[in-house]
Amino acid sequence: MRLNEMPLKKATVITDIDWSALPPEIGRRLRDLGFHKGAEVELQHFAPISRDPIACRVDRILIAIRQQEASVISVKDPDAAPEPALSEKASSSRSTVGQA
Amino acid sequence: MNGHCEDNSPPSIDNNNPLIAMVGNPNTGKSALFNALTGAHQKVGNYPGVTVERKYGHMALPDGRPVEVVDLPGTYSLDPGSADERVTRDVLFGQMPNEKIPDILLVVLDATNLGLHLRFALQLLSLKIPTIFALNMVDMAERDGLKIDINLLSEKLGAKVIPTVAVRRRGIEEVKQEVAHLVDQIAKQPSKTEAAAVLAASGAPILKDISSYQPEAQRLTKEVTKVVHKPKGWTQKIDDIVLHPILGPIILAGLMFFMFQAVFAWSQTPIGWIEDGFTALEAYIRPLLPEGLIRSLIVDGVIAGVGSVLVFLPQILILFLFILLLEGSGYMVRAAFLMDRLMAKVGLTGRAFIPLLSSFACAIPGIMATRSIEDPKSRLTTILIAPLMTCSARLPVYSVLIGAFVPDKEIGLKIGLQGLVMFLLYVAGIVAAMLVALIFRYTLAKGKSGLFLIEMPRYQMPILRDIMLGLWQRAMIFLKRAGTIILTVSVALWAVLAFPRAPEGVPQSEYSIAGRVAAALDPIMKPAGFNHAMTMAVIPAMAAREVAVSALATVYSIDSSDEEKTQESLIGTLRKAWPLSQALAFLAWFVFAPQCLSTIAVIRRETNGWKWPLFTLGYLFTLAYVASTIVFHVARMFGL
Repeated sequence: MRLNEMPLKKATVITDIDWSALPPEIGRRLRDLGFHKGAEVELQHFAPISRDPIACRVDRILIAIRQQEASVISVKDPDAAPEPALSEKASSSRSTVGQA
Repeated sequence: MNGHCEDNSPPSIDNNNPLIAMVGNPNTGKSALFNALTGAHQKVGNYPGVTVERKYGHMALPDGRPVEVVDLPGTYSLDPGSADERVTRDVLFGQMPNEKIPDILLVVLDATNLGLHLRFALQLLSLKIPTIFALNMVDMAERDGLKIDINLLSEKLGAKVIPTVAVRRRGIEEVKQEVAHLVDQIAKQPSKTEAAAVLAASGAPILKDISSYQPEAQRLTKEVTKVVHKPKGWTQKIDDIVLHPILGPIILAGLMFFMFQAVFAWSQTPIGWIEDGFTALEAYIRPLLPEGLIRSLIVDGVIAGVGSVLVFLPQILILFLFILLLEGSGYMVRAAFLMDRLMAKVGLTGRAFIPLLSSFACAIPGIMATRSIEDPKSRLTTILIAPLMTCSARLPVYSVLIGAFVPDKEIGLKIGLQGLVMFLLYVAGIVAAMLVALIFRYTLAKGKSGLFLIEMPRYQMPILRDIMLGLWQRAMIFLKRAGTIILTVSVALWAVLAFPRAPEGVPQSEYSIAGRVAAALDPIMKPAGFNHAMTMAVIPAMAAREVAVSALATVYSIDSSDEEKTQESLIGTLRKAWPLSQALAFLAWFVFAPQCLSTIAVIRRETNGWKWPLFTLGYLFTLAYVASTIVFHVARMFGL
């Protein structure tokens, strides 16, 4: 699941960042602001038009980021139960963006 | 602002006082700490060749010894990247011409976000310069339910860590004592200072890049931090309302509207005082001077000219008060967030919103604030449209004309008609700016619509002291302008209006040099609805826009008899002298008015050349001319 597809107000962790999809200076800014694999993230707010940009908490700071850049960041599905054995299908249907 | 040392001269770095460099991430409260340490003893300038602010200050240690403090730009790392980072890096590596290598580093950490900040701390420690850490915002961390083991952190970092709350001045004396302690140590063992010299001699040290410090920083943070309770999350609660997809924009629009209403409504009483003051001054001075040129110079030139501009000090201060409050509280970034998508539609980013909003106060700080926009083309576009935002210098012009031509009544809901017209003039400027941006982004500055990636700091109570300091600096700048540019232009204008002396029966302003110049420009300016007085006002307004008002005051003052002067305010005179169509044309001109020369100078500095300032001048002039022509003729068609 991508960062920009996350449901609101559900904490999860970054599993991967596709650095190659970003121009180097943008990648640098992301690193500066604390985006890294394993960081805790939580989608907090959407901007009014087209839900772009989004505001998400990364560890302890709140960051505004546009959909485009957020889409290269993969996160763990927060609705997936801690034991992956539990209903993975159910979670994907519940996780439609922002209905929370 | 009381500094602890007596001398008020700007601190020089030529002396041999120990130099402390403050380093840290943005949004750590580094500037607040710098202010608290140095008080009013600051000198702000630029590093040569780059548009990065250079802030130096003077601080006295507890025993009175002086040290110098430099506040380096807030950066996330020493990895070479932005101009800010390069400056910080060059100063610390001793590669910045004319700058000393700091003897001591004062690294400012945000206690609420140690994980991120310790990375930079670790990178800085590898420089081997004697270091002190200020663990700032410890009160916020407490509120977040974090307990930080200061002693353990000190031990792990191998340097003294001092908890501070810069905005409340907590921990300031402790920082000073620790600086004193380190200064003594360095003095005792000179070898330690040589570390810096060796560093400079051997060229730039090779540093590991910032992400390699991430794991250690995370580990260290876990070790020293205990989570006592869940954060209270004030910022989140406020953001749930303020950034709400529907409520958010309504609140933003409401705030903007309230701001402009307030500029008008709250200023009336203090404006009355200033007006009364000048009337009294004029009444006092008039009988003291003999009838003739000197009296005309003092009364028509100096008092009418400068006085008519000074009355706008209250409005300018109210506008700045709002801007400082929005910035100080952390709301400004939220506004940028809400506006980003809209700005993207004209090829800009939400980041441009902050410089553009500052431009309502003055285009100069606005244009300087564009430095935070990374994309050069978005930045250029923002610089070019900043002068279209209605700066406070245009307020006097709008106020006088609205006062003269718009009835002072309410249109329901306690909304004043005058305030509404003022708001619409601001909107006109904004709409024009957006359209122009769109055109530029498809022609001159083609490219993708930049990046919007920004930290949203938590809300905080704006600090009264800092707001007052900001307002004070603004008031001084304005008064200085009134005392220099505006006074000079007023007197010069009086001179070209007063000479040659007109024979009996001929209006002095028409007979004068200015009148003749205006007459010569008539073929150009008449189609735009301009009468001679308007033309005479517009030309000196190039120096500073508010001069238009003082120019009008002088033009009409010089023609009228002494009795008329005491009875008639400028507003009353204009109401009688101009039809509405001309007044509207004049307003339309000032929506676009080619901006003051100081703005042109700043654009030249920020774009490194004459091309863009001249372009700005040209396009604004064209817009102003076309707009006032259209407005004048349309208004005439409606019989106004």
